[in-house]
Amino acid sequence: MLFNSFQFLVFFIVVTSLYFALPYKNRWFLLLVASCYFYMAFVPIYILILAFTIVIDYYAGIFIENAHGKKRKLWLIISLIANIGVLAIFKYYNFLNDNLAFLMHGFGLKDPIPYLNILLPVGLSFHTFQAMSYTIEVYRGHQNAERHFGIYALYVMFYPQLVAGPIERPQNLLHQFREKYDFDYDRVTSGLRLMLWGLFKKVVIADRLAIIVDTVYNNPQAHLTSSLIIATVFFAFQIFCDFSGYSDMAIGAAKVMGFKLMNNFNRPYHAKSVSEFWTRWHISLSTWFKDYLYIPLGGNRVTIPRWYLNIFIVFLVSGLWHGANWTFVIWGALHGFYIIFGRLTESYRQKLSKKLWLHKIPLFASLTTFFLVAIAWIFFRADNLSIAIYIVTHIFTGFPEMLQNLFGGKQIFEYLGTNKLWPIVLIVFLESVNYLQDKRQLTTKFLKLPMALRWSVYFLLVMVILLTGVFDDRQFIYFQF
Amino acid sequence: MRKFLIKSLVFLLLISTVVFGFSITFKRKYDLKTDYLATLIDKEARLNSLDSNRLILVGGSNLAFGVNSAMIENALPLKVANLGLHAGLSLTFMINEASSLMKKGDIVVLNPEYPLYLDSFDPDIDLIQFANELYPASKAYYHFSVEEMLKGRYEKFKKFFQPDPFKVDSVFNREGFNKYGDNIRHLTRKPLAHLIDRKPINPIEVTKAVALLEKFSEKCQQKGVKVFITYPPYPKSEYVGKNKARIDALDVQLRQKTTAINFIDKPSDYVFPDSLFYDTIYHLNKYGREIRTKMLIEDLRSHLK
Repeated sequence: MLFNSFQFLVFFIVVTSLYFALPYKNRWFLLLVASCYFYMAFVPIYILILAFTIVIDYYAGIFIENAHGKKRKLWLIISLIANIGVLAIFKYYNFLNDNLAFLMHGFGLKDPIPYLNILLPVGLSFHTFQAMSYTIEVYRGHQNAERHFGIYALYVMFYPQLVAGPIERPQNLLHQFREKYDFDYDRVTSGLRLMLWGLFKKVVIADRLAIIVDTVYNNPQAHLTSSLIIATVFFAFQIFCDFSGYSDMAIGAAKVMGFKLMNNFNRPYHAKSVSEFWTRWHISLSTWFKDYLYIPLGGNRVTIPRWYLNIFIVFLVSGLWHGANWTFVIWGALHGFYIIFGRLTESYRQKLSKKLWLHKIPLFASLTTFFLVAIAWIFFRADNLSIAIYIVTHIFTGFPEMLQNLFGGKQIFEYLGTNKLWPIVLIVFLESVNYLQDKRQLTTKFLKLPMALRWSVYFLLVMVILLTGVFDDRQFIYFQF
Repeated sequence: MRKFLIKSLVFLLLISTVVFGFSITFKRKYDLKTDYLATLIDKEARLNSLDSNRLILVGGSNLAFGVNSAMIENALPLKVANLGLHAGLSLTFMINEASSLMKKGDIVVLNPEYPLYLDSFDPDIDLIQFANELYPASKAYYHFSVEEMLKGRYEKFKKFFQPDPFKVDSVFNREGFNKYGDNIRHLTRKPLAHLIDRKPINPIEVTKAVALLEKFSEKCQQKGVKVFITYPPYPKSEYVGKNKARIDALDVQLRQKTTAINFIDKPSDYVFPDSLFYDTIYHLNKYGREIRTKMLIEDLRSHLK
């Protein structure tokens, strides 16, 4: 069930109404049933995978808490193996098999192991990581083991963030299922406003940009250099609006019922360096990797070469987390490289920047960061490596010719299936709203407006969503992870 | 909570009234003589005019653009009615149409485009609404669910503000079809340099299509109709290294789950060089059409013995 579907609208109204109608003590059960239904709307049988990891982690949590010494570690390892094992089978088995087969073919041998014809369960990496954070936190003593099986299951399955995060920590979420949330007009309307804004970002901006991006990326050889550049820039905003739109809807839906989920985005394209970008993009995943991989590897409290290696490992794993494809591995590796290179050259860049007065223009740093991130997005979006390499090389090699054509009065743009101006207007609008929200507290000012004016804005936003939104069951990009 | 409920209801009512109001005042502009979709009328009339030895081709526009029915009639002792028109109408529409028109002794060849088999395929609700407006008898081929009816209203609301530009297309034109139901206007036109409508094939889930095909094959058995499945033409650039694994998996699943229907070929048999296509990845040009038809004739000949 997609957040941008009619089914979800009905589901949300029914579940939220029942939630407030039921006594507090029964609400966990309603939410658990609703979450099961929500998940089973994708591929029903895959609920069994969730059930498997939930049972293992539930008992692992209790055993870890009760055990002492090495046994605690043993239970943690069992839990981690179960979770990573599920990921390995459903997400990485065929990828490993493909690569093994490729190597074996090189030696004239046949395929070593059979190919699994299975679908990747929706949001597998998200709920697996959330489950893993629970057993790790219990092991570290930061969280008591949850004794109520239903509440633990709900922690993993809470429908707003089940399939695409934010990836919550047990310390933040588990206790909230025992809180008594009453109907609060301001909180409910604030949650709904966030959902509306998220929906706008998804169906009006992301899915409209997707029309152009898909046209180009599905057949890049047929397009001009200008189109490759436009599609790449548009993809950067498409994925931001798609994923942050989902996060807004998830956070908003939870907020309506009283739950507070962590913020997942903070104007990432305003970052002035790639390191800063990662403190603003998919925050729940970045902090997950920091807490559970980067720091256990030694973080920055090691020798400098080892520190760089730690950074690189984290980004490689992050790439693999996103997808079992070399394109994602390269995407992760590129970000790792950017950050290491950034650290290595920091003092030189600062000197140069002062010499050229670039430090007086903050936009320059943001644009440079955006450029680097956008180049990496090419690998993220392309269906395979050859397409990604084609696009990267043709953007750079075709650019001088594009400029020549521009000054020679020749045509450099082409029609890409839809008007290109409207997406540009939307991107400017999006960034302006983000800027005003950050610098001028837009929402606070908006809420002080007379009701008629506020309603007109809501009405206009709904009309824009209905008239220009793309409702074609296009999945959220991050569902595939 | 009361204040919230009242405000929400008023707001929802306001939005619903606006959407419904504009949707019912929407009037579509079209010319029955030249509209592509209106060919539905001629195709059914052709089929109904044939008395026996009927070969009914069922599918989307890959059939309209990519089959030479006259060539089939010359090679086989059959009279061809090509019902292929538009993939957006959905497999349900196509099968129900064939189901209501077929009779004892007919041979039905199902040739839908790949996405039509998938559970994830979304029928083009507005296209079906339009087909119903042009040819009211087609209302029997697709029953809208409540959600689809709402979607249909919503589509009309959107069209009120952004109507499709009215233009007479020379290729996608009722007058461009021959008596068999084959579109022939594109045969003399220059194919596009780069094929369009390239989309990755979604993960293979075929539960709905299998149920539909099983029901259809039962009906065919009861009526004494032979039914076959054949695969649509597909460009090499979309198959090799892109959609091959999914298309092959689709073939495997369909063969495993629809045992009552004979498959007369494999997807790879109908993978052609891109140079044999006209505009989209399913529309063959003049040369591709001839090659595909010859292959289809041979496949049919070997299965009709």
